[in-house]
Amino acid sequence: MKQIRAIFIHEWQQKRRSDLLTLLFITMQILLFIALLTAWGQFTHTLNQQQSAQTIVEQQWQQQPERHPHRVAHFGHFTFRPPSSLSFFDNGVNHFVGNAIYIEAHKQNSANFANIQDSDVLLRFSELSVANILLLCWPLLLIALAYNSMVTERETGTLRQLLSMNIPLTRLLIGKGLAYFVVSILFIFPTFICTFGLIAFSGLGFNVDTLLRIFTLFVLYLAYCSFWIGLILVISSVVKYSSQALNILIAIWFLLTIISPRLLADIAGESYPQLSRNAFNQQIKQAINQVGDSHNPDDPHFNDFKTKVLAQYGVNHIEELPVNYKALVIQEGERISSEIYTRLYQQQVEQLRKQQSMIASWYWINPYLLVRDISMALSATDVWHFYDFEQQTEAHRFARISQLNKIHAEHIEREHDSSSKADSTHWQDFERFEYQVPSLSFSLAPFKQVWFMPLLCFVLIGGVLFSKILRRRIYALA
Amino acid sequence: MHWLKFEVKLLLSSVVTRMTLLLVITCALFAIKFGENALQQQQQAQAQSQSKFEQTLTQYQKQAPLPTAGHLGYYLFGATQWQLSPWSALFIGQSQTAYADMPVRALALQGQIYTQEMLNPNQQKAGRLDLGFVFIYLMPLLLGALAVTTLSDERQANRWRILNSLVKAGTGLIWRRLILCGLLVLGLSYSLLVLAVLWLNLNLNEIFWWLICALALYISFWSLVIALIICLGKNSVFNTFSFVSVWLTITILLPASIQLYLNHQYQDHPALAATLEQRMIMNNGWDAPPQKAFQQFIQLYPQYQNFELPEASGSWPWYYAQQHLSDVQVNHQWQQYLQQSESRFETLKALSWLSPSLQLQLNVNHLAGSDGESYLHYLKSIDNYHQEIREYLYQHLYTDNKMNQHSLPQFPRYHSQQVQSVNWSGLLKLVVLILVLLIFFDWQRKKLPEY
Repeated sequence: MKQIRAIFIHEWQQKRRSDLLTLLFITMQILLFIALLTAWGQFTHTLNQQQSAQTIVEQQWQQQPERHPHRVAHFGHFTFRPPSSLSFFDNGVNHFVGNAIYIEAHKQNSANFANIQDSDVLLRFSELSVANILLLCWPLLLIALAYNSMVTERETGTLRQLLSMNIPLTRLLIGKGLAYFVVSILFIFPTFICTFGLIAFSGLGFNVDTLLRIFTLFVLYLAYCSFWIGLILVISSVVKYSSQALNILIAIWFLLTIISPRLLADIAGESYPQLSRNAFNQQIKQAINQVGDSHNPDDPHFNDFKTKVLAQYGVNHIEELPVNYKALVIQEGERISSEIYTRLYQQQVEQLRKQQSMIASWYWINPYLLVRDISMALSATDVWHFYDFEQQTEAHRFARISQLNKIHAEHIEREHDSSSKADSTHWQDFERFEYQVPSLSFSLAPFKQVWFMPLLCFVLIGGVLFSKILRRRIYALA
Repeated sequence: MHWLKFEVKLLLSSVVTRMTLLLVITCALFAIKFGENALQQQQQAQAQSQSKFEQTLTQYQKQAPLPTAGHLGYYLFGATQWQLSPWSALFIGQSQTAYADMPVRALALQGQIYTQEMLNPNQQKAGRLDLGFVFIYLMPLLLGALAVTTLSDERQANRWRILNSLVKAGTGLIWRRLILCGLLVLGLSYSLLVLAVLWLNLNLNEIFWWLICALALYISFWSLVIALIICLGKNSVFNTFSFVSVWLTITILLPASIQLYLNHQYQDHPALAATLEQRMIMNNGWDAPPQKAFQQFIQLYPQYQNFELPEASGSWPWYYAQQHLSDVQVNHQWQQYLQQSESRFETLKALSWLSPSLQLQLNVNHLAGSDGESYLHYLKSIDNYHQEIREYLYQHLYTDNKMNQHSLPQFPRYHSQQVQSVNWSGLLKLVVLILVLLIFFDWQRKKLPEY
């Protein structure tokens, strides 16, 4: 233990002496805080904007005068997706997806108003967020700090001396690794404290769930740092010259963080293609037409439906029904379109799930991908949270339109359908759309099958780091 | 020429260099293939939309009785196409993310124009791979890997002193080696460009020659950056780090910071405001007397003032008049959206002075007609087409001329316009930057220590 402590202190003091590294460390910290505070500003702005827009549309809905319920169904409504409380830490895919959906009768619209205007040019490496700095820039700084940690000992001849003094190689590696681990804690801890402070003192979404998410993110990023420290020490131990170590490490950084994510995403996209909006809409239209056309008096589906309704109410003609038959037909159409939309939407999501599984199969060799995805999931900004919003919206849309159809059936007479109106008090009985933020278990569900992969990665690096082969190589080079 | 053979052999002797070269070439091949597939799929989708539109129109012509103008305006969507240049397969810009075949009908434009394409946001976040990415982001790194330690390696291996004494001006050898690295990377870029041109059957037009010049300037810029780092006379590790830091700043940090700035500057969402307001105006119209809307409408279209609006509420003539009025009343927000987008592009262009990579990226996207400005132009052309559809229907809605076999095939077609201009002046910024760096270099190289 004493030896490890001595190695740790020596490594620590050596790095502290470098003005360039200290400057880089401070610059990166400043960058982190700028990213954090700017993102916080944007988060509160978007949150206020979304909340006020949701309030406006709810008021617009409730302030409607007496109207025909089907007209109200076409008047429609909007649902807004408020940014998650940790979106200022990791903005995930938020820049690329819309956050408002117009809901109306007969039709399912997708989220619009995404902020992607020039993202394709400016965000080729994603935005300047805390998560991206930790994922992309911090490993590079770790490389700068530690690439020569073992190789310099050899170049200067101190490694030979240390080994001749019977200092076990394992302790040397642990001592050095520990120094960089503490530096990593010092680097990321202030950001997490600020993240915690901003959420706790602003009172925006602070609860046990958020606390758990922040803690898990902290552990996740520390594990990510450990991966890089292990990797850097392995490379630094097996090469002959420090410049060689640096070149190899930068090449690995580039391959893991820049090249492979986009290459894999594009290969996955090609392997499991998604439908375009027009093709998707066309597919829905065709599927609905196959079931039946309510305007066609000879349509088998709607004739069956009519028979069932008449039997249900025990009457022979639609005129004898105690409810407006027209509204029942509209509701049947709504049920069909909603079912078809949900089924086809799920097929699209399934394609994306396959794409994601293809990428996930590389998690074990590229922890950047894993940490990036878990970080987005914990911040509730990944693609699955977005789809959850679209699905919650469709459920809300169906419930809202069904309620309107019920008013239509019960309060509008079939004989005077087009000239009748329902009382304005009905519009007060509708539930406001409140986006239900998914639980932590929902966020982490996509990683159930892959949780062991980082362990595998650690075992692999640990195995190499403390293996006999590495020890022999170090002794041979020393 | 013996020295050239020797120098090239020396350059390619390192395994890391050979691996990097292989990686860059592999990425380029994938990029061209992905670009080709994406463009083909997009063109197929556009052709399908067009043929679907023609098919529906033909079906309507066979229908008896013929559909009314009101019915046609409600159910028939005109097909539009964002006319992309074949070069957009290499420089994708927004071509793979924007809605490039937006259908449009005679109802209010503001309820349709902001629709987005269905995308995989994960793929977008990963950042797409195109040949532009290889040229703009990977080539400088390759150049850095080849050249940034040219002098420091010689010094660290203690060969510099000997070299300097053997050759008259030792530094000349270093600069010759750097130029050679630059030419090698440029040669590779040109080869990939020619390969892409042959692969995709692209024309050897002005765009090609523009790219030839732009790539030469861009590689010169990075060569000068490397030269300046070499001039500092530090060791290989320092040089490598300095280069990676400059690359990181120019290609990642500056564009991301500009994005943060633009988001902060343009926080208004006129598109959302227009949609919310348009919907309210349209719906309030249902509660007002139909004549009120029609009176306003004929002020805009006085040629239909003799038309007698049906008294019953919800008639097609009233409906289309009200739809148009809802568009007119939020027109200021639509104009604000267009102006804001244009102003955002202008600010972005102005800020691109800060990063040559961003400059080149913007320029190549513009060249390929896949940039934001081209998309905005497409949106404006949809606006015009929407007007053509409306006014075609008005002739039948507000007159006694009902739809007939002769007029139905006259339904307007969208005529795509490709916005493509070769902007030679776009290279000026790069030339200025290169000149500035050259002055610096000339000043710094004299300070280069002899040993």
